[in-house]
Amino acid sequence: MIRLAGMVRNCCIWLLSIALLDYVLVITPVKADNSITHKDSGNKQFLVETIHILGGFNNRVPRWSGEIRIAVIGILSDSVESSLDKLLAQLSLYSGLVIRRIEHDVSGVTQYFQAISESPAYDLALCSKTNAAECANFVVIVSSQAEMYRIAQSLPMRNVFQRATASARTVYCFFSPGISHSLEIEKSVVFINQSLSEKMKETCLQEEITQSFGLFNDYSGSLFYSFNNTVSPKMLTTHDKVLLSSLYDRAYSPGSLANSIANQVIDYGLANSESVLPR
Amino acid sequence: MMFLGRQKRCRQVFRIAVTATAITSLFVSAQLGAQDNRPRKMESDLKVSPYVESYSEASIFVTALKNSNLWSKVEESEELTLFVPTNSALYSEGAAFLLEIVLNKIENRNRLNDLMAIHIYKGSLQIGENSSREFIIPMSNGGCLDVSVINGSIKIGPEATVTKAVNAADGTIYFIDHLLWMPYKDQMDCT
Repeated sequence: MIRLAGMVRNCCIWLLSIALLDYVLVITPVKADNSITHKDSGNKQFLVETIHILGGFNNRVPRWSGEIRIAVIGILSDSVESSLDKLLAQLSLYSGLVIRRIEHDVSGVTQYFQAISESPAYDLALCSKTNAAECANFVVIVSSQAEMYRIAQSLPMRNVFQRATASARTVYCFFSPGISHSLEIEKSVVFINQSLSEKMKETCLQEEITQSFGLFNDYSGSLFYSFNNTVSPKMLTTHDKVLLSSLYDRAYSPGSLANSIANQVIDYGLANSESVLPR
Repeated sequence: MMFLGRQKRCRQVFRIAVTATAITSLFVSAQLGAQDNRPRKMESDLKVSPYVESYSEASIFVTALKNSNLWSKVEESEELTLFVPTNSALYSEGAAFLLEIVLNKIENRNRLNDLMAIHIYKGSLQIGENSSREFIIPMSNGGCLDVSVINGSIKIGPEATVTKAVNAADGTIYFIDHLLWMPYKDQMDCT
């Protein structure tokens, strides 16, 4: 009888252990910790990254002022098109700018290259097929690296893009803005390598287009921003959106100091503790 | 021999228990996987404006609405529908800073008014979650919002989903998980 009781006891212990394991693994939901730790070092890191993204403490940060008319050369899948439309809606919300897609007649990169070769200096040469007066000031080019190299030689881009696209190394994507003397962004070109996977095309579009809005720099290994020099699928973070909101605050003009734009973000984060800036 | 028989019985009981637990786990997993996305529905004797004023999770949006020129319209309308992103939704998507700091400034007042206008519909809009369908809500600023109902889940615009619906005395409040914003559309797309 004593041995039987012992065996029953051991069986019960096994059954309870399994049930408890089940509860932990199956029933208890896993909650991601979205809060950031607001110790001094965390705040300092956030400030350092924010200032770096904006180009340095005393940098005057350019931004768009008027309507953005965006045209895409090359082929994007339906899912990438859909995520592009969602991104443009978000950018419109956080910047307060009207962002429109231009439907055009240019069939591909070769035809586009011909058009910009023949056009006046830095004319992006893509106008609406229904209204010739409405022309794109933001062009996304989905092409091979070799084709992009030819285009980069025709547009007044920084030499770095011409050198990069001419090199043997694979260039995934980049953006090249055109900025006026009054520090308004007036034009932009984004290159997306057509050999990328769908997920990477989405990531590139998201990162390069968003950075074209004035968040020009990457911060390697960033804890807060998606502009972290890594080549992997990612999404806009809450910090990206907050910084974009601050940059496009109409209380500041284009070319405002980076520390002014950064300070109101930092002050808000400190005032609102962990609930404000979840990652 | 009796001792060995009991051990064998114990092992059998153990195997049965493990099997039963495994089956139970699969059942529980399946139930968890089939989540119910339908919004919670409530009734209230209060009108729309006092209801949202008293609802703490709506405080950021209500403050922004009061800063705009539209709060009086909400108070004075005989019948209206209000789409309200909750505080936690605004923090989660990074829009709380936009509403609390940026759009609170006089220089951004027009932007605030335009944004708030998208969240107000004149009339009581009853979006039933019983059937799958898609339709367009015309907004007072000339734009429009796409609404889709799929398996009881109500999606407004490109991203927002309704989490709770309240039938108030003078209209309906839909609590949502994203700010509403419309991608640019030509007017003809709204007809």
